[in-house]
Amino acid sequence: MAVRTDSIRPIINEFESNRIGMHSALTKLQGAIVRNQGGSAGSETSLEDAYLTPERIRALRAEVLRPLDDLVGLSGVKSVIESIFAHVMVQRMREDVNLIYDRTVDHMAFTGNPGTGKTTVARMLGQIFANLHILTSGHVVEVERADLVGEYVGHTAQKTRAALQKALGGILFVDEAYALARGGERDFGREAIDTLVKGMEDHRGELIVVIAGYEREMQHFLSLNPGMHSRFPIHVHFADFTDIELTEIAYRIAKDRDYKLTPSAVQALRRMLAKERTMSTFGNARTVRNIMEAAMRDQAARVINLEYPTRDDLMKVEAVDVFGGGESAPWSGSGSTQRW
Amino acid sequence: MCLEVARVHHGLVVGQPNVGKTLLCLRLAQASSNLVPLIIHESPSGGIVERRLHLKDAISTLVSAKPHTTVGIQTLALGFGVKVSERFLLDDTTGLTPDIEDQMVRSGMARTLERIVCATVILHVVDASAGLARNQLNRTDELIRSVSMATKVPYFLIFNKLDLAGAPEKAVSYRKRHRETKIFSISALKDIGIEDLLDNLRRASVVK
Repeated sequence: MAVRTDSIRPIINEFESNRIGMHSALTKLQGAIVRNQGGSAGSETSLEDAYLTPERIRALRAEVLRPLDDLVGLSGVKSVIESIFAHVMVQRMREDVNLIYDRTVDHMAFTGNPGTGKTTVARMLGQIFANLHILTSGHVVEVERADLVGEYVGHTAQKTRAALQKALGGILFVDEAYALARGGERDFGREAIDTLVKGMEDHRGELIVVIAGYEREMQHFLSLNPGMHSRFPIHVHFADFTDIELTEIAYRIAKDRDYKLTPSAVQALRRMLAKERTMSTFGNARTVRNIMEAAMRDQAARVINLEYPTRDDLMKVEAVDVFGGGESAPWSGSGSTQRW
Repeated sequence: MCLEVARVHHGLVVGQPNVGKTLLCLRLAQASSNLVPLIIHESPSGGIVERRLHLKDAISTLVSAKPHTTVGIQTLALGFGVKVSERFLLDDTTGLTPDIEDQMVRSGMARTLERIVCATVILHVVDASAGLARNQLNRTDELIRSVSMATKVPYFLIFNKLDLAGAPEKAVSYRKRHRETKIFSISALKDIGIEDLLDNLRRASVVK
C-alpha cells in the first residue's frame, strides 16, 4: 500500500470530532487515496465533486439560479424558487444520512397579469430543474385550451395525453388553465382536466405541470374541484412590475440591442407607462417591450433623415422616438406601432 | 495507525452494522482450523485486550443481533500459513453508518476508516436480504466500495444472510450487473459458502 497515512489523518480527525458525517468522510478518504496514488488511476475519479459541502451548495445555487437572479423584480417569485432549491438540497442531504427523502417537486400554479413573467420563469425553471436532476430534460411544452380539447368524444383525452407525453422529463405549461373549465357540464374541457390530473398521478416525478393565468380566474378554477388546490401546492404570484422595474426592463432591452435611452426618453417612457397602466390592455413587461420596439423603429425613421449620423446618433433613443413621432397620443401617427 | 508488521496479510472486514462481520470472521477462523483463536481487541481509545477463546464461546459472546456489538477493531489470525509471509490476520471492525448517536461508536468507526489504507485485502460485507434498489448497493455501501476500489488491493464483495428470503435472487441479479467485482454469496449463520471464500483468501495471500 503506497498510501501515506498522514494524508488521511485530518479526515479521520474531522470525522471523529463530528465535524463531518460518515458519507463525507468516506468521500474525502476516497479522494485522498486517489490523489495519494498520484492520480495515476484514470478509472477511479474523485467522488468529492459530487458531495454537498456548504461551498458546493453555494456554488450550485449561484450557477443554477443565476438566470433567475438576473431578472428584474419578481422578488416573490424568487423567494419561492429559493425555497424549492433549499428543499432539493435538504432532501439530498437527508438521503446521505439514511433519512426518508422525497426528490420530487410539486406541481405549481402561477398567477399574475399578462407580461409579469410567468412564461419566462417557467422556461427557466425547466432548465433549473434539469440542472438539479429533478427533471431529465427540462424542456417546456406550452399549451392552451385549444391544444388539449378535442372536437369529438375521445379526441380530448387523446390530445391531452399526447401533450403530457411530449412534456415527460420537462414542464407542461398550461396557459389560462381556467379556460378548460369555462364550458358547461358537457364541455370537453372537463375531460381535459381529468386526463391531466390522471397523467400527473401516473407520471409522478417525471414531469411538472404548471398552470398559469390571472389571479382571480385561477382562484376560482382551483376552488371548483376540492382536489385541485392540493394537486398544485406551490402557488407563485407574479405581481405587477413597478414603474422603476419597468424602466429597468426598458434599459435592459435597449442595452441588449446596443441602444441607449436618453434621460428625456426615460421621462417620456415613464409618462406613457403611467397612462398605459390605467388601461385594461396594460401588459407590464410586454407593454414596455412593445413601446421599446416601436421606439427603435421610430428612431430609425428619424435617423435616416440625418446627414452622416454618428455612432452615438445610431444608438440614442430620444423622447420623440418613444412618443412615436412626437404625437401626444402614443399609438397614433407612425402606423408602425402596435400594442401587444 | 497500521500495525507495522511486515509481510503479514491484513484482511479488513468492513460493512454496515449488523450485516454479520464478526460471525463471518469467526467462521473463517473455524474453517481454517484455528479453533481457539487469539482475539486482539483494540478499543476506540487505543486500549488493547487479548483473549484466547474457543469458537463456541467467541460466537456467543462476540456476536449478537444488536448493531455495534463490535466497537473498535477485533483482530484474529486465520489458521493457515506456516511461513510468516503467509500469516493472515483478519481485522473485524465497527460497522459504518451515517446514523451515529454515540461518541464511542463514532470513534470506533474512525478506527475502521483509518484501517482501510492498511489492508492488503478488503472484505466488504453487505446484507443480501436488505433492499437492493435497481441492483444498486445503498449509498453507504457504494461509498465503502469506492474507497476500497481506490486502494487497489483485492476487493471481495460478500453478500451475507443468503439463508433469508429473497437474498439469493438479489445476489444473483447484482452479480449479473457487476461482473467486474469479485462477489461471494454466503450465510455466516448457516455456514454456507465459507470454504470458497477462504480458498480465495488463501490464494490472495500466497500469490503475494
